[in-house]
Amino acid sequence: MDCLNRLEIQQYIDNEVSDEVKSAFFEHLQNCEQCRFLWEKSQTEARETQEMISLTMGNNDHLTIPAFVPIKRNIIQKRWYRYSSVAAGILLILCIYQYRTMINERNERFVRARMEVERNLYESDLNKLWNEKQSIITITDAEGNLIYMNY
Amino acid sequence: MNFEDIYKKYYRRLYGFAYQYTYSKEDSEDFVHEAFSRLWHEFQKGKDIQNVQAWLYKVLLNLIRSSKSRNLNMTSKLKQIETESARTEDFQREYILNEKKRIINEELNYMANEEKEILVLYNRDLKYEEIAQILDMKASSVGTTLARAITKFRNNLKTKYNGLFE
Repeated sequence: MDCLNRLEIQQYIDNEVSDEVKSAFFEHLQNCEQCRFLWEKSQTEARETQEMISLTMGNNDHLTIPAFVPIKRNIIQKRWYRYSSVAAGILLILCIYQYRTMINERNERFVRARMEVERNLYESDLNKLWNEKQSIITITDAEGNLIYMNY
Repeated sequence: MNFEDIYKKYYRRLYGFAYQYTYSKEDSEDFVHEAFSRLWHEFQKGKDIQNVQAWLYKVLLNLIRSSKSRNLNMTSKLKQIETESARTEDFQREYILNEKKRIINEELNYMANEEKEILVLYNRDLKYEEIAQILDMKASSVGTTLARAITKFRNNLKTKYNGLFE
């Protein structure tokens, strides 16, 4: 049998090999001094490492176990999160649509009023100088409400 | 197995495991409770879990990984551990023990996540198969990683603090 490598020794220490392999390893360790040295070294290393790490775990034997209280908030929260994003999206689209229509309406009214002013100016007496012109300008919005008038 | 029995059997082990990451009593309790409540929900749904211990460890580890508390300033918490029981009769021995704890914790935090996790899990009498299940790795590579982690951990301690861990 060939000499053992580090992995095989680790598996042997942790009892992770089948019984046949285990007996073969055991036999080999009896005969091979090099492998025995490596095995002993690895074993002490593993044991000491475990001891060191268990130092940091603290002693939990006296720890009192609190009573388990199941909480159902988990499921409720999940549902709420799932639908809230969809609702927020719909609300946002509605808001944008409403805003766009408002802007459009306002622009339309403004354009109509402006055209009326230009027409009034144009239809006043064309043969006079601009400072002698007498024109009445009325500005009304789309519904016919008076916004401005000059004499 | 009944849920109550599982809760009583594994609570202390999971608490110790969580404590090794958070260094805080409250955080550990919260994480463990969350893990158990997930198990409770699984039981309510009527699901059958093959290896409950490995399942719990896996859930707990994922919770700890995903939380921000892991990135908290570890050094301040390590100092807390150091001064926890400074006023005792056997002051010197206590001091050396606390110093050792602090150094080991520091050294574990310096190591790669996978190596730290495998070392901490190795201390809990878990089989390679269970460790592989918890850490989402191949069962065949557990031995290699473990051997490498142990050697690295030992060498780091030896080179930095020669004599303290004889």
